[in-house]
Amino acid sequence: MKNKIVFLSAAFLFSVSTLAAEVKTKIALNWKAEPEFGGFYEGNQKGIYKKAGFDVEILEGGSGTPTPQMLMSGQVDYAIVSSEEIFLNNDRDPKRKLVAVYSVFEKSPYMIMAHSSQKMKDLKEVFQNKDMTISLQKGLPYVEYLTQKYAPVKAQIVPYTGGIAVFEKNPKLAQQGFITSEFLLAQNQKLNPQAWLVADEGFNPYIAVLAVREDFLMKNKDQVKKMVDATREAWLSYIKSPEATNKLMHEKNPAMSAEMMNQSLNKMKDLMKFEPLKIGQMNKDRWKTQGEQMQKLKLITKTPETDKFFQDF
Amino acid sequence: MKILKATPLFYFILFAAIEFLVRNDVVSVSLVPKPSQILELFWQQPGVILEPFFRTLSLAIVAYILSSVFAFFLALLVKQFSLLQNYLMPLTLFFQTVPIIAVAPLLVIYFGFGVPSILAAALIVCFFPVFASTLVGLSHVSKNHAELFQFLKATPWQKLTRLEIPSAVPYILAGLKTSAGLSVVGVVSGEFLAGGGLGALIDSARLQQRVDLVFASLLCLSLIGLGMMKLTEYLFRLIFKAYFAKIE
Repeated sequence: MKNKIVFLSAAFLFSVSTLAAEVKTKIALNWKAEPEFGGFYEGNQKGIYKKAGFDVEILEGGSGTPTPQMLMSGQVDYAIVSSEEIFLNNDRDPKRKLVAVYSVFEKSPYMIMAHSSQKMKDLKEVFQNKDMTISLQKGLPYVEYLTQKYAPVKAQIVPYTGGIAVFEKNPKLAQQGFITSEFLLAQNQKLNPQAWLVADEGFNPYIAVLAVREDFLMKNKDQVKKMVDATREAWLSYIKSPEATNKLMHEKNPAMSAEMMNQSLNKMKDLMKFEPLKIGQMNKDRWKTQGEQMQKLKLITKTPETDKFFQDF
Repeated sequence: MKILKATPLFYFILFAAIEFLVRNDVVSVSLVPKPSQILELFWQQPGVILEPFFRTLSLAIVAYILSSVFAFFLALLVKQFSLLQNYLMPLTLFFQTVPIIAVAPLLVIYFGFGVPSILAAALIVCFFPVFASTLVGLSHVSKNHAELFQFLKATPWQKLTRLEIPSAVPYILAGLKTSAGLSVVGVVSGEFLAGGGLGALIDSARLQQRVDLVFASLLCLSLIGLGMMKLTEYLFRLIFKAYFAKIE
């Protein structure tokens, strides 16, 4: 009997201590379950985060989910943002800096697409053709970049409404979007889209970046490193065999078919070539160039200390 | 009177407290702007706000008048023909419950970018309060008055204009006041997707994390709503004073 009690209490203590060792944390996404977050879902699905000592809750986002603000205000410790958001955030409140620690995309998936039937030679022609209409979300840094690069813009600029419904209706309409999403949708609907990557036009921010607060990173460097390592492992595993996670994500986001998820991931692979760096790592010069561009666009007021804006693990 | 004098003081203290909290970094400046920052914005770049302000203001007024007139007459019609009520009520309820952010992208597809979509969004949002309150008001006639009208063999027209509409006045006013605020909400939701005005300004300021610009726009919006509400009340009293004098 006595032995039994000792055994039970030892078992209890053991389970409590293992529970305590597990870090409970949240990753806030800025969009719904889609392949651009596949690795994070994979991390949970395949127990990779658990193995690394995390109990991760993934918070799905939606249109306009303010992930930088959620990070800053301490609602979450990890969130998906873009490098442009890090620039804006760190410029607005330098005391609460955000730091990028892992980037899903090496090359930005932002694109502008037009109907092939319009036979546009390049983006310049799209922007400077007065018969064209371009659906763009004003205020986005890359939109500012393109409208300045191709000034004087003669095409009519209208707001971006999400999806491709207006694109489908109007052959003279070009629109913004992701090459991994809206472009594929248009292709699947046989709209014959022609796309230009914004990265090829000279503006190439890091997209779907895992970020943390600077003060959090300072205090929990080991934890963040473990998180990044696990995330990297999860992404490699997802790219190798995405089926199970795609199925899970399709259940969470039924609007995106499993077939579309596969197509999207295939497109993503072209934009995830990090060599000679490790997958997810970011380049110092790229950050510097982006800082200069953001400053030139007058989107930020101070010269950014870009070395402090990201940390590779 | 005392309360009136205390109101500016209350807001002064509120803004001073926000200023204090943000200045001392208790609240991040990128979450809540300093009130002084907003004043500075109005002072240094008035054009940034004023141009969209007047655009939103004019659309809100147009949408408000259109929807109120339409809702009022539709309520009169529905009251006269109870059959119509059976047909139209589910439809009006549908429009009342439809979340405008969900249909705004569709409106853009139906009506194109710009003013028509914005007005459509505003009409959907601010139609119902006037319609519902007019309908309720028209039925809230005192029993004695109704019997008197019947006894004097009043025509339906006389009954409507001299009994039912006057009885409905307080209800209509309440509906109109609600609708005044909602017309601003409707126009701004429309502008988020169809472009222009304070809606588009808020959308792009949000993307650039310019909370000062977002809050400055929000202040302007509440000014528009408040102004329209007060003006409605004023005009209503003016018109109905004459109306009541006439029937007396």
